[in-house]
Amino acid sequence: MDIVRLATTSALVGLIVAGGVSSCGFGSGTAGLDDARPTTVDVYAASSLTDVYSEIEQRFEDANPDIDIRLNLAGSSTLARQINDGAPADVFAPADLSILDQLEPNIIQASVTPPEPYAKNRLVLVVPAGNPQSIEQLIRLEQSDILTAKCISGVPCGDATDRGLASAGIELGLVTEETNVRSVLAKVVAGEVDAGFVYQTDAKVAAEVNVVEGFDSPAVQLVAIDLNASRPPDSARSSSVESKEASARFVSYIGSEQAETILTSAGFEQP
Amino acid sequence: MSSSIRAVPRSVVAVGIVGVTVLAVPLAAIIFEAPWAEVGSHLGSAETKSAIRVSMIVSFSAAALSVLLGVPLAFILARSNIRGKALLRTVITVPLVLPPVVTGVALLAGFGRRSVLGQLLGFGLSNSMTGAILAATIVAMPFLVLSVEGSLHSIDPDYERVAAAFGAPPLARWWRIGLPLSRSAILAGAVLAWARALGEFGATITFAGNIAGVSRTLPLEIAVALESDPGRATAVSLLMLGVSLVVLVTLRDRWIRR
Amino acid sequence: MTTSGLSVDLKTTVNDFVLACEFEVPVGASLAVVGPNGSGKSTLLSALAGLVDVDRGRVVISGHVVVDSTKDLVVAPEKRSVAIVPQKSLLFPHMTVAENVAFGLRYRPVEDAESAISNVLKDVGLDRFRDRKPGQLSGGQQQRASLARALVVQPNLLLADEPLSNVDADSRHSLRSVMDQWRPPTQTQVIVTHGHHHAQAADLLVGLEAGRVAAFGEPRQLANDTKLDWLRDLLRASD
Repeated sequence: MDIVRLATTSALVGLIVAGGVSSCGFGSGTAGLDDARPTTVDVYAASSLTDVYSEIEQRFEDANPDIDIRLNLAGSSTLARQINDGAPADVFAPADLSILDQLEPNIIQASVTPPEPYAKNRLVLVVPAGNPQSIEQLIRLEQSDILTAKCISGVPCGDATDRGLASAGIELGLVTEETNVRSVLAKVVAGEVDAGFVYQTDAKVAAEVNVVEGFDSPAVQLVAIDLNASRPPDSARSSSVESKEASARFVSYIGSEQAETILTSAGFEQP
Repeated sequence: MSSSIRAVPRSVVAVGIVGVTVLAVPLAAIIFEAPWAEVGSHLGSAETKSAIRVSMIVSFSAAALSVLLGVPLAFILARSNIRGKALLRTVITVPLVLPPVVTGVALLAGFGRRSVLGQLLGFGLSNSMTGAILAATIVAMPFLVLSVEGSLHSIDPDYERVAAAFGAPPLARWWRIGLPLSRSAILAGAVLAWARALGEFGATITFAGNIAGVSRTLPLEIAVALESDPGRATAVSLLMLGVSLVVLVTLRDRWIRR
Repeated sequence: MTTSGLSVDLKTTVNDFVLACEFEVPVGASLAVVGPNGSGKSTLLSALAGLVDVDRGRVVISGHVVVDSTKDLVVAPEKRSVAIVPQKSLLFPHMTVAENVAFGLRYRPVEDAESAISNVLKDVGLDRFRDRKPGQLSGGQQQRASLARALVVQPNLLLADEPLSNVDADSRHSLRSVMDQWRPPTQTQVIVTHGHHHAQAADLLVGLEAGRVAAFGEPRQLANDTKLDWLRDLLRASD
């Protein structure tokens, strides 16, 4: 009998703890009774989009004061894992189209098919300012004393680098693999590596690196998919009409001319 | 049995059960969800073997360095009356509370290519196995120092005084009396430091990079595999869980006694 | 004129307890230190061995000045020709009995150390226990080993803090003669004791009260002269 009462108490405490966590962890995406409160849209964007999405968020919110964009920035495949685990993402903007394959079929199936890329990006080879190792050609990277940083295989920037290197027939002599493209950039900027593969948009932001011409990488296709649109009304996170409408408005803004201007000036190419 | 449970209020026990559940559920889940059929082949893969090799070299070197450099510090903290002991203890404890990635950044500043030392030498210690060992040592040594220092307080300093009265000079007193008497404390501290070094991630990837066969330790291998081969990530995680359990069992008696 | 074996004039403070005393013992003599608990007997031994700091004063052991505060001189404990039998034995727990006894000889070598160790162990009755660790010995056996460790060094100054307190009454007598047997003619002995045997048999006696010398002299004389009741009782006691 003691055990039963203990179990009941434990379950209650557990519920209280869990409930407390969930209620402060994830805010509601729907506007409540208070009409003044803006509708929140949770946007899960790749870390390579940090700067450009911050700007888009600001412009969009200026134009749509009734909507609050909440950015969650991380590596694309990390975000995909979070979404598969039930994270309340309204919009998913990975660094490459290919990441969508990592989403559970039931999450992706009802979404817009096929997603239309709104921009593309490219990998470039960068070296620390002044190019201390005088790396002019890709073939230098095969030397075992030249340390190159790239993204881990399996994330968009890593896969695109792998494909570019394979088609150029280059095998890196000494390589350190970073979990995301910003770490690669940071190590090149710090001069801790001799070269690194980053997006051309990253190379544009960092003044302390030089781009080495001659690396022809396949482009990554940027897509933004509206997960909110396909979410059934009776799902755990019930979406109101306002919420769905807000998510749709943001996704269409990504494809708009205003967003295109921001993207182009950041170095993204037209799809 | 029930009388011993009532020694603690029922509500406190209930919170305790929730606590242990929070701790145990993820561990149980990784065991249940592991692709057991493939674990063997994953652990036998060239990538995993290379990471095991790197991890063994790095963690044992870091533990050895921690003992070599940390034991004297533990004695200073426990036995001497030098001024600035509080400051010394703070310096030693900082890596314990610092996020490892910050330790990594600090290491870059101190020993990286662009650091004063790096420019003086013409090379940095970053992106090398030496760097991985250094990073692991810095995060592991505080565990050894604090654990050994704690045990030293329970060893009667009068033994060393008696040795002095019998003619043993300071170094001999330390070597023949102080050190042997703290042998088991040092051993326990070394195991603790080794385990911490084995699990080191943030400082290693920041300072020593993630170079296969050089600085890609088991935790880094898990991070790599997570993106491309989740099954292997789980298999390597299981390996590390197993190692942790072995360490805990080794230290169990000690922790129960305290 | 007798040479001084031990000349003491010191003041020391340990945890707010002040010990201040002055006396002199001729070379080769034995001094019994008696007094109530907390009178400073153990502190005196520690100060002579150099294990506690001395506030001021002058200590001379067999002609060697080991403390002279006017010259800022303090000789480190390991450089004084002393050996100590601590109250709580304090055998090194990780060494065997034989290794414990050999400890001091490494720093103060004697001729044929091996047989000296065997002999002293035989004399204190521990020859069968030479390879045991202290943890495997009884309290009395530990005290014998601790005594052997000090005797074998044959120091100029032997400091013993109730060396026979844990030994059964029958063995005390024989161990006292072992102490005499291992005593070179130039050895001065300072023995803290609660027992009347050591107190009455010593050449000189110092009675401490609250960190001061309350009585000093030959035990036989003090037995008649002293105004201290506890000391008179001690010196007139018999089995």
